[in-house]
Amino acid sequence: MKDPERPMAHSDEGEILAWMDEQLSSLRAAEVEEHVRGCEACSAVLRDLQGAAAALGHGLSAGDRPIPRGSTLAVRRRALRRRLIRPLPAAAVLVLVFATGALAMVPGSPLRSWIAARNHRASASPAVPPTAALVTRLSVVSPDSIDIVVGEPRDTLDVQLVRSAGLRIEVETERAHALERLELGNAQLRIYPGTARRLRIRFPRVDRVRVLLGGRNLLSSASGVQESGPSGEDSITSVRIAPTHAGQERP
Amino acid sequence: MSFESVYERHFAPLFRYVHRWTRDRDAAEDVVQETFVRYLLSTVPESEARPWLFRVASNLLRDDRRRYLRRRRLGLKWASGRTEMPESNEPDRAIETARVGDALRSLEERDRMMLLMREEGCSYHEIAEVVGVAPTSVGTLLARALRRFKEAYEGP
Repeated sequence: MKDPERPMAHSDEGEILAWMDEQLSSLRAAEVEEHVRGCEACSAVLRDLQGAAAALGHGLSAGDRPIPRGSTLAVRRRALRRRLIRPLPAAAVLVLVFATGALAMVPGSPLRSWIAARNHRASASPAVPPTAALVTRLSVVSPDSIDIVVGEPRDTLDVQLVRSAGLRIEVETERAHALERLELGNAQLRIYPGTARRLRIRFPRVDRVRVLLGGRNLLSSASGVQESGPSGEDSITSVRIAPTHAGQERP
Repeated sequence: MSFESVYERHFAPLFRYVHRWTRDRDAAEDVVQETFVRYLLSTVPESEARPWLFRVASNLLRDDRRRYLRRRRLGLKWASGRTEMPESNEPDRAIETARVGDALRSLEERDRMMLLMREEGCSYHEIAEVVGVAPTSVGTLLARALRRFKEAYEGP
């Protein structure tokens, strides 16, 4: 209940403006109005706000142009064009995919011939690593570890480590799931890089390391022999395994 | 309830709002038409059309204005900040318009947007929805914006 003896506290300018703009509830509006009428300070705030709002309103109105006659027809045409045009790229892609697929099925078509020739070339040249894009770099960081940077982390990678002395090889991998098969003098790893792009494989000094991808020999290094792939950032660079035993390599 | 009724009801205040922001009739017509095209392609109910239209128009004006207007080769008018000359032949009126325009342009975007929406009779709830503030703070923000406008309008 309102105490008539206790005057209402000053309204802030936001509330006075809200009252001016008729944005207050009727109850609150009545309270603010009563207070503003009896309070010189709040009346001054109200006059200031009214003056600024009037200056703004007059200035804006003075620069107004006649409202153009809008046309819903023009809006509808523009919307219709957009409805028609928007699905076009997707439809074009679909048509292209189907057309390419159909063309590849037709015997004797140029596309089919090209695909066949390409497959033949690929199978006839195993020396060219098909996995250059998959394993972008393979390097030796120390005599007993290699780093593999994988371009396509989804692919699995097979690593074979051979030690002629017949000792057990222990292998440690980082940031990758690996299925290891460790035998006497022989270690085979099937690595599932997952989302990891850089793998580090640690092992004791071995005589030979082979890295296979999808059954293809990606790299093999025998003791003391440095083998290099094509140079460049996107290919295997080199690997050197420092031998500790001068034994014979396993076939 | 039809698109025509929404257009009929909101075209004038929306055009005035956009034109007062740009002071470029062609750009204003284009922005307003684009806003209604988006409304037509949307599923916004008529009861929520007004704040939605103001919000889309404001976004076109504010966030996308460079890209949007570059596409329509109107960028120079915006970049230079030139305003149209008032149609009135009364010099006092033209000066008044220019003064108010300069004062408005000196404000921050949010202040300008709120003041222009208030001039179009938008409720504090609608302003809050478009600007993205609490409805209870709109009065205070508007009062501050008005005070800043007055300072810029009256000059040092």
